[in-house]
Amino acid sequence: MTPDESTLASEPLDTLDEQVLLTVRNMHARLDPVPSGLTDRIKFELTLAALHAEIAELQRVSLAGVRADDTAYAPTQSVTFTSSRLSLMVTLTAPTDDPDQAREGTITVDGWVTVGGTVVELRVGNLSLTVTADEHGRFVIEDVPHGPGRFVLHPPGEGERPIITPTVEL
Amino acid sequence: MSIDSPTAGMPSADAAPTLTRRAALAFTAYQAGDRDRMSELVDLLTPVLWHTARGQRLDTATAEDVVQTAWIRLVEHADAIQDPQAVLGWLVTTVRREAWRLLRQSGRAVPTDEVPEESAGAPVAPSGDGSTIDPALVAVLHEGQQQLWHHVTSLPQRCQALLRVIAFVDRPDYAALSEALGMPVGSIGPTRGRCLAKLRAALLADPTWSAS
Repeated sequence: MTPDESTLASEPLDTLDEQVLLTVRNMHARLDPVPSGLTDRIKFELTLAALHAEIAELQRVSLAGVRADDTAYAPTQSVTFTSSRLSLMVTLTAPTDDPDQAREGTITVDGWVTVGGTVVELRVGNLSLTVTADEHGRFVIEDVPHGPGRFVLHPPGEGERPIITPTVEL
Repeated sequence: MSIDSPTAGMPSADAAPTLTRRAALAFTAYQAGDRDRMSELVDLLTPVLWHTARGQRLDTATAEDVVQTAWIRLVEHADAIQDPQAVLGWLVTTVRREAWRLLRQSGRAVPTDEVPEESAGAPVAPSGDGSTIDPALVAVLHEGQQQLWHHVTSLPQRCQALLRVIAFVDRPDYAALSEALGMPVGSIGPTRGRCLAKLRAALLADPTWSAS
């Protein structure tokens, strides 16, 4: 370090330093911003941590239909999750067969959970879609946007801990 | 602002509240049972934590994981944190340690706080580590920022990491943050410290640079 730098280093911070640091801040904010959606993902994880939820395991993914390329959606995909208390199977369908019904970029989730009456919440991005499975455990969630999503299952009964699934690409 | 927290009456109370103080208010409310205030805390402090992680030369995906892990640890240990003013420092320390653990595990890099300052005097080209910025991105900076970029990347790595984080907090918080980053006392605040002095000297010696 040069003598000049030593002197500079021992001086109190002044307004020019504040200006320099503000420019440094603007530069980093522009070059390497906090990824979009990161704070939402953190808040979601914290909500789950607060729930003391049980994490279900992703058991199986099976693909029916043909994936021509990355832009063409496979018509049907089935995913199975298991936990100590229940299993969940969901089938994801992009309703492309019927052009009148097909909402651009949404899918339908047909599901079956082994405990009837379970409240099924699907979280995709900032969106939370909640349905209650019927007595046989069946449920349907429509107009689900594409993106990474996970299920939060609340089995019926007092004090039952919720169960969450790993994130899957919808 | 309501004076309802145990930290009211701090010297900074009548000035605009610093980041640390705003975080302390939200965290105090959270600890008292207002769980929604955690969300405010996440919005407030995540930028500082992001730049802490990236300043430790983590790639973006790992930096995201590390920042997320720090928040989960905070919720797990919320009851153990006695001084709400310490929340930001606690999170920054956690991010730094987690980053250090992962870097050591990957055998990829020496953490910045382990590099003796003298040996870090020669600037190392920021290549081959996770924090590398695409040159095309640097091109989007306006002229003054490009000059600054040049001078900042010529600083020792530990100075780059320090200034990057300090730039996102308020002046009264510099000293505490610098400590949380594992820097020696006096690295910055209340005096300018060596890192900022180096940058300032380089900028002042650059006839094409203007502070405006």
